Amino acid sequence: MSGKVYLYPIWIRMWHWTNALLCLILIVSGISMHYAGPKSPSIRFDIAVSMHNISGIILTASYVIFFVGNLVSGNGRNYLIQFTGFRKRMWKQIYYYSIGVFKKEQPPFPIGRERKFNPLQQVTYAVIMYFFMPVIFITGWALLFPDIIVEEWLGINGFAATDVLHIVGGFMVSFFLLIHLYFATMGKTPTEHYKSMITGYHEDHEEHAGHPEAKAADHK
Amino acid sequence: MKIRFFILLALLPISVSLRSQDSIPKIESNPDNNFCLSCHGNRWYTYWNSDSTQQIQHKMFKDLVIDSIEFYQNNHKTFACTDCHSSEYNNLPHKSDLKLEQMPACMDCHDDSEFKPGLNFKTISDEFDKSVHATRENSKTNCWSCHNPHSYRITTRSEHNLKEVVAYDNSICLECHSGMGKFDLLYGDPKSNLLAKHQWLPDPVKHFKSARCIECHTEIREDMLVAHNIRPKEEAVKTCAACHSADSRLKHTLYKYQLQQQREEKGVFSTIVSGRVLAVGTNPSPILNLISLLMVAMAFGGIIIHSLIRIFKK
Repeated sequence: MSGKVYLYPIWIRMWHWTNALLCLILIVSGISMHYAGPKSPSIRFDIAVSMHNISGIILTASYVIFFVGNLVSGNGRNYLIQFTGFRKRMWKQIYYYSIGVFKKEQPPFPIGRERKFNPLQQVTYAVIMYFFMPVIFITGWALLFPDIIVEEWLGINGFAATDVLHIVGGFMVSFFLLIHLYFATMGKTPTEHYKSMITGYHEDHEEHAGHPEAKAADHK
Repeated sequence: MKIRFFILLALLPISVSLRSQDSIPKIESNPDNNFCLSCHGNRWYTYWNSDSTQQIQHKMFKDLVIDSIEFYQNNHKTFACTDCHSSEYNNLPHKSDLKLEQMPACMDCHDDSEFKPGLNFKTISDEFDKSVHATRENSKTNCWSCHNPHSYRITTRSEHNLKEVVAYDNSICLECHSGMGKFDLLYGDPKSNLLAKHQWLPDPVKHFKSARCIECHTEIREDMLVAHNIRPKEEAVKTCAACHSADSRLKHTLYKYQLQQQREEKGVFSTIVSGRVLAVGTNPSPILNLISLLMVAMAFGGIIIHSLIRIFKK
């Protein structure tokens, strides 16, 4: 027996897909600029710059909506990491992804109304959304107005540091997206999670719901 | 003092930095020049007219005024005036026919291969001869048009901050090309509104502050530190990726001297490891690139293996 749980309200879905589209444009234009050259098959540099700048500005606005939305709606609690028993829960999830899933074991932390993210997802999402994204925004806006960047500080070239931080942040988000796209195929069917993020409903499989081990591990 | 923001590596504190005031250079004068500069170092000069037995004051023609502060910072600061000008100038009043004296040309001294051969003055001269400054019809341009012998100081081959190098070198071009100066007088062809002509550049002012005119308006030669073959405007570089790329044109022009110095002092490897950021999108660190490509390759490898096992175990 299974039922549908409404997990993703419209604002989260709209934000999620807007975020996804903007990130894709930013990644493509970013890589194009990074590997630009007279003979490189990249997007024309000035076009790539405009694509990157416009998408970056819209992404900042989208992030503000995400940040405020999380505070107002309570969705932000999904990103709060419980440090008690953290290591044990992480290992449980890593074990599941690397071995358990092949043995047809049930996910140790199934998605439900009370818990949208498994421990690994929670940590990754929190680090990406609350560390790397702000890094990208701060450095990105600084690069839009390079005059505000200090020329040199403690022997470090300010422009170089800002540029490298932006590139590292951008790479980490791109890397996350790659892994995220794959892990999103690990539902009951490969498209289950993708559909959920379109319809807002998640299939609540009975055998997963209230998994006793997960509940116990959650409270350890 | 300017307050600017800086993003620090790990914790991202926004700190305040105070720009240090430019240090005042120590100026050493040449006493041999005091006599000349007593008149030519001022906008007004006085002399005793023995016929009228009066002290006469005249305004010095502006092209004959020598800024002694600039002079004693320029490349020829150790020179006596009479090293280039006739020693008869030591007599007053100056003879009128001295105005017709044949002035030495730069290459009279600089053509000597014994004179700092690394500076390639012969090549500079040859390149200049090919440039639009020399080939343009009725050209009146010579070395001194850009390198004022009384004030020009070398900046590229020095420890100067690159922004100062850019500002100083661009000021030389702007002296004629700003549309307010010699260019109009020489050619009656006003080149006003330089900014309008460069509107195609994103943030032209930022570009003017960060790169020299010659970065885009010259033909680069690897054996020259500063290109002198100024090309006609139709041949100017207008491809962004020429500078904003891994093999940035700036490495062969503006940053060339610093990169050469870095290679000599710290070895080739240091330039590969620390690869400087030259402009946005210039692929700053080969090491970071390698790490990122390895991470992506590993991720793809992991995903493929994981998927295959999932499919196999289905």
